[in-house]
Amino acid sequence: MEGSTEADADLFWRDLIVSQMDADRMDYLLRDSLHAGVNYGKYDWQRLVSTMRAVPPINENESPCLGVSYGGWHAAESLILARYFMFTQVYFHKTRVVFDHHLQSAVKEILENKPFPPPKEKTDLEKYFKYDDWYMLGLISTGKAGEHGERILKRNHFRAIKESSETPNSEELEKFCRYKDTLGELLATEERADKSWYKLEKANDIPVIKKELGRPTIKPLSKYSSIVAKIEPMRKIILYVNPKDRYKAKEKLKTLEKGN
Amino acid sequence: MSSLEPLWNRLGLIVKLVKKEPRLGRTALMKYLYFLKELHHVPLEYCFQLYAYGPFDSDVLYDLDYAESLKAVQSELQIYPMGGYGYKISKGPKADEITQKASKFLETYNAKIDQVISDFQGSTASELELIATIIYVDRELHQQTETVTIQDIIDKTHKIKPRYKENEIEAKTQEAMKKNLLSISKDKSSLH
Repeated sequence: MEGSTEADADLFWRDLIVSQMDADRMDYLLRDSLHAGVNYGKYDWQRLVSTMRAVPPINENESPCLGVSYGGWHAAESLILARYFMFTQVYFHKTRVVFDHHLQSAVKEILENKPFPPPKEKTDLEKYFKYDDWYMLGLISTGKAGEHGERILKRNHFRAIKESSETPNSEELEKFCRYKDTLGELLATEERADKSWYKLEKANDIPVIKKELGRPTIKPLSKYSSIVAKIEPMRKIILYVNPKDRYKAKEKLKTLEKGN
Repeated sequence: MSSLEPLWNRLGLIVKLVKKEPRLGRTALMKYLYFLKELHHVPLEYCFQLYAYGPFDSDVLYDLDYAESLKAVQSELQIYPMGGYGYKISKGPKADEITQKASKFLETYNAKIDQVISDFQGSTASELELIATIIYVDRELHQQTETVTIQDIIDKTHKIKPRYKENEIEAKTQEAMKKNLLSISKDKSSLH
């Protein structure tokens, strides 16, 4: 199931784990919406689940895949839109994104730049299990997670100095390279949606199966939904600086833009 | 190296493949990139895993989406008369601009790109899926054990892809052997 040859012919079921309609993303959108206190991630999951279908292969050597019946395409559309809103409004919000950076750096500090103990032997396994949320948060709260742990505690996070559009074109990408060069050592971190665990892609379209005169026709969701067809891949870039360098950095970028 | 260089290289390679083989499908594009990485060690940041249509990485589609939004390629939806659909990818108005940004990379690997195209040109998406799965199985079995026979590869591939007939898998495995695409040494190539 995890994408190895051990899955044998069960690869079809992988769609339930990794696809546009996998159980994980269908669950996390709703759960994250609830816990973040927003409504963006909500969609009609009951209708979506009841209209899910195994789409049969059309040609002899094709695989079946997971899709929805024609009656469920609006429910599938609502899932894609929920994902789009959660990406743009929550997952890739400038402040939430930078806390990933601080948390990663704090964990690195706790582990002294070493990886987690590999859970191979029993003693390693015990050490591995020790690193649970309580233990890590305890170390952060007692100031043992270095500079970034301190930033999390005091909410003194790096500040966004430049944000690109959701799908920057090549000119904008080059412009961001110039910003980075200009900022030099003032640049605290660069966060990019394409390097993020969260990715918003559209190419993996959901198949919609419709029965016409007894024969099934299969088309992608984007053929029915003009909104889904228009969603662009998320490639946002955000540049951050240390709060104490904010004004200096702004001045530098202002000078660069005047020069252009 | 500019931080954008790996991105331009990946997008440039996609555009180059589309230019060399107009009206390329998505499965073929995915498999060509897999062959370039696995067989020719072209440094691509993709991480292929076995999926319904053979080795797959959703990042390829993510890059394809982006190449399309930059107008370097364009995808045309094809609705098949028997039902079902596919995409044909062709070069877009900004194709040259993107290949230009990756010119050094494309020049370095041009011979390997040509090699992959000449090895697999004319294969259907289904044939590419099968041969890519055979190569994937070969690599994974070799990671697990040193004694891998051609029959092991055929059996495992048939388990993963039961819709292909065993003789079809055997013929493709032999073909891959002849082209030196498998890790299995020729002395172990006889069938049990």
